Amino acid sequence: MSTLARRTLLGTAIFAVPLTAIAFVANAMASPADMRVVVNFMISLVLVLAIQSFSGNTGIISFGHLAFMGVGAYVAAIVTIDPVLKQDDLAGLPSFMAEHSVGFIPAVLLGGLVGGLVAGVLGVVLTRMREGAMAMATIGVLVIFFVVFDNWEGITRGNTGIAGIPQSTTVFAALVFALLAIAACRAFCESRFGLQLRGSRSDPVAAEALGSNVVRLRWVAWTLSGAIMGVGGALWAQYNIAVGPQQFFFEQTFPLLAMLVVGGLATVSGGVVGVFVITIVFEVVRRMEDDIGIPGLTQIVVAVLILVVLNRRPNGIMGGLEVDQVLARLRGRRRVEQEGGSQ
Amino acid sequence: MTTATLALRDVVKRFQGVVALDGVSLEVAEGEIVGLIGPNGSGKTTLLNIASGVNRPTEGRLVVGGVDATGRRPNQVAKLGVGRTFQQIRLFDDMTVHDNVLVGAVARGEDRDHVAPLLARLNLAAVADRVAVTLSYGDQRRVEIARALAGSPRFLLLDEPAAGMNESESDALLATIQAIREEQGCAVLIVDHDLRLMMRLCDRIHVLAEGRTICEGTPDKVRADPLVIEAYLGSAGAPAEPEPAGGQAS
Repeated sequence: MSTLARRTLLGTAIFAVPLTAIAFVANAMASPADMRVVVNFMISLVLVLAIQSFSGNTGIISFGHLAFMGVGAYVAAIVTIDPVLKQDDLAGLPSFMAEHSVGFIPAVLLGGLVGGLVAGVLGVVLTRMREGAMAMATIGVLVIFFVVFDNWEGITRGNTGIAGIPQSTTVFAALVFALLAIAACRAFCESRFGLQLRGSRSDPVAAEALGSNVVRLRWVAWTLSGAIMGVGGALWAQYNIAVGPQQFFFEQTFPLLAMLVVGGLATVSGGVVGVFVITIVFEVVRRMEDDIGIPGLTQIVVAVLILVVLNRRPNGIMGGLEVDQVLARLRGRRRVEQEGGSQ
Repeated sequence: MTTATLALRDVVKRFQGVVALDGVSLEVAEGEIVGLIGPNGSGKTTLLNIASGVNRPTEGRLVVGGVDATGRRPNQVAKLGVGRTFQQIRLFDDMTVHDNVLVGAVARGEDRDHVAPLLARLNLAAVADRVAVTLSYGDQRRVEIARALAGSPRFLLLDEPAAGMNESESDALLATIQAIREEQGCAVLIVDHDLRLMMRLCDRIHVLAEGRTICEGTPDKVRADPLVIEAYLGSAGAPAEPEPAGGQAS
């Protein structure tokens, strides 16, 4: 088996065990409120890993990815809503879209496809910029898409948003897509694309001198991550059953980036661990908040957590390593200790 | 002329009016080791930057293997078979030695199996899993050479590979570069201040001063040339002495 396949399978399998266990336990005994937390956790995995596949490999932070989540969510909303509802609410749709609806899987795939297409077109311009300029330009992307979602009445219902989306994303569906996202992002990271991008992340001049077309590599990563983000948005819309422009803007951007930074931007495992840790901390503190009576405590605790992690572990909890690398090191260290003890 | 040459033709490079190179022509033929020496600021690194596409010449041409590569991007010049190292080491600091070399291989479409023999060749197998930035200076220089070789270049440009090396390390480097030429068949254009190394290693030496060629020929010819002694070695003329090349300075 190739290195790429072996690492992808191993890296996915290690996370598959606890994530599958969480899904089954939630399915068996979770309250509706806890179930919401679990499903949104799984969907957040898809979203955060989408951002990781671009920002982690290129080293360029994106503030604009929620735009592609929005695209995926609106696409899923428009293609799944009952045609009867569409006639009243979404008058601007072309007739073939107004008169037909599709199921869960086609809606998710369409969300990914359109998310990838939109990212691909924007990426032609964005990836030609220098690193810092591109990061700033992604803020512009976020704002432009917000304005479009907010004003394209006939298609998005503007500020009102679209409601009445069938709730099709089950906890197991979310689990499957989370695992697919982990596998896809890890395979990308270990591929020729990912390797060259990680080189360019630390020294773009050296990467180009070796023959890497850094602009084209960044475009590939950007487009792929837009597609995964679209998938995440489509899952999200089909769980939360209503979409509006405010849900794909600054306020939702920062929790996802916080998850990525706390876990460790550079690796897929960092993204997974970050989503897990922030979700746990957020839920625990949120429940305490009501008891203690300090409103806003949750945000403060999460913010302090980010500061502490960045101070103590600048590369995030995973420290730039994948989970299988961490396990291999621990095993190596234990072997050294055992051999040392026996002599 | 055969097509298997790397040629710079009448190259002029100005940086905002400052003339770094003023009409330099240089050719490296297949399998040849050509040295480039000259005082600091004579344009050696600029010349390597132009030969690898990092800088584009203000005037003149770059021709690689018969293809006019003038004005092409560094990655396009690399695809014509030009590999290089940098005066200030530019490794991928957060990646392992193995992965640094692996990037060099995949960037040119070479197989992953290509990496292990190269690491062994450059005596890096023992540190393959170390993160590049943790290596000693001399090891980092060899990783950079291995990474450049991973793309199977026809022309290898080395910018001060012996800087910071002591005599025995520099001797080992000499043997390595000669072996690379024998085994990979790639030509080498090398810039270095270590004249002891250069005189023994190079088939031909090209001497620059203030952006112009002042002498070109065999090491013996260059060593005897009065202009070289005047401009580069100082009027005292003892070849190995004036430049602090062999020390640990970095």
